[in-house]
Amino acid sequence: MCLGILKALHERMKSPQRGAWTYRTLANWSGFSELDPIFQDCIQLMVVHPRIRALDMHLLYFSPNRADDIGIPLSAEEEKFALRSDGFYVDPDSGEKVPDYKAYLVPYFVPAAKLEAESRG
Amino acid sequence: MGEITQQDMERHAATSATRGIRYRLMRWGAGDVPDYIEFVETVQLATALSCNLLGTNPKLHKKHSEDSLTELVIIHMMGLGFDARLDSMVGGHCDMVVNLNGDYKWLAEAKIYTSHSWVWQGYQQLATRYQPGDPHSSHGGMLIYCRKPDTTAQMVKWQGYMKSQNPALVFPVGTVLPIAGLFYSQHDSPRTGGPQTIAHFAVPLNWAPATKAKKAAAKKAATKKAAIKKAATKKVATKKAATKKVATKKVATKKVATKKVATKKVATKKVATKKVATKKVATKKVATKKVVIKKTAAKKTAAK
Repeated sequence: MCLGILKALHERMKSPQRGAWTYRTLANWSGFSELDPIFQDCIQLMVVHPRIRALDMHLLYFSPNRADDIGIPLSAEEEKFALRSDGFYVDPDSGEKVPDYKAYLVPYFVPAAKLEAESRG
Repeated sequence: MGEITQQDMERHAATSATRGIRYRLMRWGAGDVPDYIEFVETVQLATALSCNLLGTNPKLHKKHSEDSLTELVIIHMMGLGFDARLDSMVGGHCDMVVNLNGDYKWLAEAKIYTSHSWVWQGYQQLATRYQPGDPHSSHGGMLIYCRKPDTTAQMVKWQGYMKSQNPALVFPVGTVLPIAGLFYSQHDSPRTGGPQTIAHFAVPLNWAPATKAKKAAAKKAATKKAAIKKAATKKVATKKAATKKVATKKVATKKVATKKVATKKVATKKVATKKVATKKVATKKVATKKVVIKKTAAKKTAAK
């Protein structure tokens, strides 16, 4: 499964348009289900394995108050606090801490330096 | 929205210890950098899981060297997301070095438990040679590969030996990890004087399943029985052969005796025949003499 995902990633690296790759994007490209726990294990390995490290993870915030929200990327500082087990996230519109904020933060991935280097050959 | 959220990732991470560790490393990578103690606790949990995993198939590792075993631990640690390396140069060739962004280090020395002094040698190398003594590399580990049974008892003995070698050593209570026989020791760095804590991990590599021992004993008993039977059969055969030999000898002796008797008989007969012949000759001689006398007498009479 990991090799399938990696192959799909290398294909996408040929395209000039990258965008934000969510679990769903990666699952659609590689032909797996985003809900499959093994697929989620593979994404973990793509991010953390020192010999793979193909992806860097970031977060997008989807406001529960806007139905057509396309997501706001979190800053490095916001991510740092949001990722903690006892963390928080402040809504940029209201300035209020978002209750149950982890349900509105969507992880997305960008190519890590290693994948960029590999795709350049 | 329908996309996988951070909440879903946490749910996935909560389903197993390995997923939990990898998720923690994803968080670290995304900017939630841990303090040194969180790093150490995560590394030590990962090391305990890796040591236990290595101990699940001891039969496969019967002939593996210290380096091969450590390499397997390192491969698993990498699968959990750690930058772990074998034989890194840190004041010498330390068996395992786990490093986070070049800031934090956790060093470990690995030894097969052949004797107390051999493990002690490894501990001394780690404590006095490899550990630099700074606060961000002040924790480390001993990976002790136990090929004898009862790792917990061995670790108690090992702790006792450490006390006997250095009464100044302290054995603090530390985080409880899911591995048998674990304990912590603390010493002051010879370079900086700062406290250095070592977690001692036992890897259970004993391979002596009871079923196999039973089978081997049964096989041994059967072999012994067969050998006894063979020996008895041989004894009987030897006895039979000896009896036969004796009988053959007897027959031969009898034959010789019979022959002797026959020869004697023939000789006796011959003697008797000779005697008869001699007698006959003597009789003939007497008769001849008698005839001569008679003739002489007749002659004398005629002359008269």
